[in-house]
Amino acid sequence: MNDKQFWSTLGGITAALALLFGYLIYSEHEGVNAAQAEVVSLRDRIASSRKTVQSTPQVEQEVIILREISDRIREILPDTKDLNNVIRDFEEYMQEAGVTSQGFRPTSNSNSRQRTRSAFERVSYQWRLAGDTFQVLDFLNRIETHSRFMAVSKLSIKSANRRAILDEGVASHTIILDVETYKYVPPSAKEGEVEIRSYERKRDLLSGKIGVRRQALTLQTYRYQGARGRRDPLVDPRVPARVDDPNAWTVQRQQEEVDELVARVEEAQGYWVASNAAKSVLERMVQRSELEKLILRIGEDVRRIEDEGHITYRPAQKRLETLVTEPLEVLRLALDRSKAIEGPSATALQTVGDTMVGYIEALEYEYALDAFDAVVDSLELLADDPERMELADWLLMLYEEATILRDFSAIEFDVGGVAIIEGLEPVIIIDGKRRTIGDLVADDLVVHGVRPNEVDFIFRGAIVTREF
Amino acid sequence: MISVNLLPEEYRRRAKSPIGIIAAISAAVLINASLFAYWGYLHFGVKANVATTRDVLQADLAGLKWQVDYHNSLKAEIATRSQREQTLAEITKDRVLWTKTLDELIDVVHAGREGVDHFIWFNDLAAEVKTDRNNHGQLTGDGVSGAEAYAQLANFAEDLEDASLSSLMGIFEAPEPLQATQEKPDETLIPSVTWSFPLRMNLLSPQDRVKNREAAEGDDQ
Repeated sequence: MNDKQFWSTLGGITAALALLFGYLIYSEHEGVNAAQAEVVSLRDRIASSRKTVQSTPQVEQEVIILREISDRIREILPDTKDLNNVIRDFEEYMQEAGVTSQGFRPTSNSNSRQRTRSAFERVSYQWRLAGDTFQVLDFLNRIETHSRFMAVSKLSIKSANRRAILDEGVASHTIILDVETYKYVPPSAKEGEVEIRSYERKRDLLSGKIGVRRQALTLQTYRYQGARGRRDPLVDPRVPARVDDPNAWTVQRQQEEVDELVARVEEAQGYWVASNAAKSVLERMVQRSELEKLILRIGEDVRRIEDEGHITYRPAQKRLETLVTEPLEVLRLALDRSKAIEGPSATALQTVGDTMVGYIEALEYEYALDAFDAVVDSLELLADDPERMELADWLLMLYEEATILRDFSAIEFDVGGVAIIEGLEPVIIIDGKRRTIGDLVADDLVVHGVRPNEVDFIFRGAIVTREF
Repeated sequence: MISVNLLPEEYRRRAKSPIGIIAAISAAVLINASLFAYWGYLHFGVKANVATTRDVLQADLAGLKWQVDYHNSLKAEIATRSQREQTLAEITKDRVLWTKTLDELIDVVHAGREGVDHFIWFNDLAAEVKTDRNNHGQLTGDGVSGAEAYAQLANFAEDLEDASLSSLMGIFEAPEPLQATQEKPDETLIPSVTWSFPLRMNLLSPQDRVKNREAAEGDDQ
């Protein structure tokens, strides 16, 4: 091989090797760069994942809260129309509010809301009702406080004509209500539940927040409190001209007076219900006693108002008749009937007697007398029943005993000392004065006997003892 | 031409190492050895190191994956569940509590001023909630005033806007200007003279109603 060939060969081999290594180095660089880029990307993803995972506890909390309030949300905004139940509820509400239904029909879903929003479906019904304004408000309030979301989108009240009100005594307006409710249309994705570890413990820790969120779901409602003495604003309040009586009550005054009587009758009915539900005979007697007094007072006021002819406004007259006079009479009859038929039973009398004995032994004489007061008016009903009359006599005896003891315990005096000497009459110093057996200390109070730490008196025919 | 060296061995010029060749070969070897060494450094040093780092990071990421998946599942559940809550908020926003509104209107009718009854009643009342952009609904009524002075109507109109009597202005715009017509007198009734007037109050937008309600609730607290 000559020099030229040698140099060519050497140069060629060297160059080839250099090229090879250059290529390898280039490839390695590419590989390293790619790997480094991958490392950077991995680092970013890890950082991002860590950041995501950091907020997992908060997300978990939100999921737990949402799961715990989901039942309430579903109640307000259910997946189903369930219209039959809504209709049943409405009938119940109408009965409670006193409005009458004249018909109902579903209305079309052409509302723009329906077209533009797809997360829910609007279901609307139109009701035609009759009743006075306050009954309608009562009914409306029941709708607007229904556990399911309901809204009145349209309503109209046309007043009953004056002649009909005068004839019937009640206002029966014509009401048309458009009530709408909603059915939730869930998106296609299912509400899958992820398993959360230690769910119950985490839920318990979140109970406060869950309560707050549940509270926030409460729909805005209004506490309707009835007519409260106000007149129906859809009733013509003018009264017939009465030139002969310039002091005639205004419609407002007539309404207020009748409303007050209605409230008192309701109070009396409350006593009647309470007396029937009373757990103890004593409580029953007390309730009946209050009821009797109230019936008498209301009856007297009704008689006065009717005699003086103050109630001329027909709706007020009708209310007085249907909500005061008639229920009052019913109550009176019920009370009389229960007295005539029953009177206090032997058990009741025995209970009252035992109660009185208990109070007397506990030195609570006033309570014993109160217990007696609850039955004293009805004792005369027992005259024909020897068994119960015997108990009544026992009660009378206890009454006397309690009265004497109460009055005796109310007498105050100071005992300065006693002198008991054999063979001589004992002497006692009362309020600084020397007294011996047979001496009068105060009205009806005579010294009967003296012992070292107590003194006996004769008080209203009974022997009573005072310790000192 | 062939040249023949005829000199005796001891006189001949001694053969020398080819410095140039050695240098050239050495240089070639050096260059290629350097390149090889650098490649080796890249392959077995840098690249292996990066690959190790990558493997570690991939293991880390794999460890985080189930946590991220869990997180994403929770987020998906939130999205699904909160949709219903948002829907509820959306439909409740528009609702007008007519019980409250009419009850407060009756309060105003009943209130009177300085002991003088407004003495107003209605032949009809109508209310409607609309979702149009420029018409949110209204409350209308065919009213009648039996007050001795028709100025009492102006008192009534003022009372409708009186926040101490009702919160009607929280959901309605101010009533439209008053107008009234005297009806034919009826001497059989007291009062015999009455004035009829239209009542019309337009509903505020749902946003304004919510804003006013929240402001009122804030004041209460």
